[in-house]
Amino acid sequence: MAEVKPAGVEFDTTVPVTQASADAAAAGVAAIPARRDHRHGMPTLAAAPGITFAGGNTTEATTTSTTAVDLLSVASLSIGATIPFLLHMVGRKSAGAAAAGGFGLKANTTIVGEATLNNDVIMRRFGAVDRIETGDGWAAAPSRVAGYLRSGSGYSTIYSATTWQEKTAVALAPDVDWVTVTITDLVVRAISGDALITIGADELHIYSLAVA
Amino acid sequence: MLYIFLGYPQTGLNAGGLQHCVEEVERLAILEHDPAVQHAKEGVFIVHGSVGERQGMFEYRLSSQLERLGVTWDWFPENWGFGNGCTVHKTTANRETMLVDHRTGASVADLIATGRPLNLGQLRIQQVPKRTEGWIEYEKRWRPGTCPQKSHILHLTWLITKHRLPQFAYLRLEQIIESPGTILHDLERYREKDFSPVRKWGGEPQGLSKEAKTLLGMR
Repeated sequence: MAEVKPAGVEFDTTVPVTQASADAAAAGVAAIPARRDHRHGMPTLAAAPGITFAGGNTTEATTTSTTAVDLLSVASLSIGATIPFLLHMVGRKSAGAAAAGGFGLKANTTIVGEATLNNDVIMRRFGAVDRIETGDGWAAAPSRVAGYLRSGSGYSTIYSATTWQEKTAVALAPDVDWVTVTITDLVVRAISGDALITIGADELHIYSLAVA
Repeated sequence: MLYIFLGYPQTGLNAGGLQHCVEEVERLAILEHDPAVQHAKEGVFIVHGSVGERQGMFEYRLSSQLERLGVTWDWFPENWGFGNGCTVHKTTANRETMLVDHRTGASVADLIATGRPLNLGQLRIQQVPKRTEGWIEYEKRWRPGTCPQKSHILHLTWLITKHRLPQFAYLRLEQIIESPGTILHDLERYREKDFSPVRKWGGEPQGLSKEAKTLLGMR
């Protein structure tokens, strides 16, 4: 049942305000009562600039760095030492100079495979030819248990716009033993053989596997 | 000197394009490209093969937008590599969820694991964020209370310059990277390879149908 207006009370017919973000509270000055079921408008929550939520805009990660750089990462992981995982990513090199490029991998803060112009970590290294190259890499890391900590292998193919392609087995941890603690961050590192070449990477997906 | 900005260049430039803009088109800075010079969280290193020799700390500046968002120098973990030149970095953080009984807060998995018969009709199931070890570690990198509490991507753009930038150059750089709608000068001097395509990220269901919203009592 609708509530009844008390005798002698006149209500404010003004539409309630829509608050703005960071508005300060105020007692108000109007000496006219408002209806108790009135509703204030709410501002639409704007996404923080630079943060992308699902459905927002994103783009690839790119670098011109001629020394290894942390390019692309997945944080907030919880991969226990006995949990194997799969890793997939795509990468590319622009034209601009006859120089190579490559990728590396860091688990938490440990660089297990450094990005160099000679290593094939996650993906095959790019060729030292002035042309566009693209490709992808699939790799699997087994359970990280003592005695088996230099491990992880996969496969990668690099293509150019012509019919050239190069297929290679790739490693994940060729330089240093895996960490045996829970992996919370996996970071793809990259290096460009010449500052005139842009190295790009994207779509890094990690799949942790159930163990029997 | 290291300059870090929030987001990827709003002008659509990638790292190579931004470098072209900064060094060739607008001539705002000279970037460090020496293949022996590597910047990391712990300082600047001279790299010989796989060995790095630390030369000391370097100057850095984070944009005011980053500071406002909660990304400070502490966001970058130990052994973080900034390399040299120009980089558009991307970090994805995925928030895991679990199903709980809304009334008791007990997880459905735990209830099932008791081995007792479970009357699903009596449960009010709710999906809630899970505080995994990985999420807790990630959250610590942000200034307290600022880490977004759902799956997200954070783009950062950084440049390593040979010298400290004059204020006008810094402000222009900040505009090119962080301000949507900025117009590049001499647009005809850019090549196709200087830009990266921008697309939508579909990390989780994009939205609920009208029927699903009704079922959940949402407006």
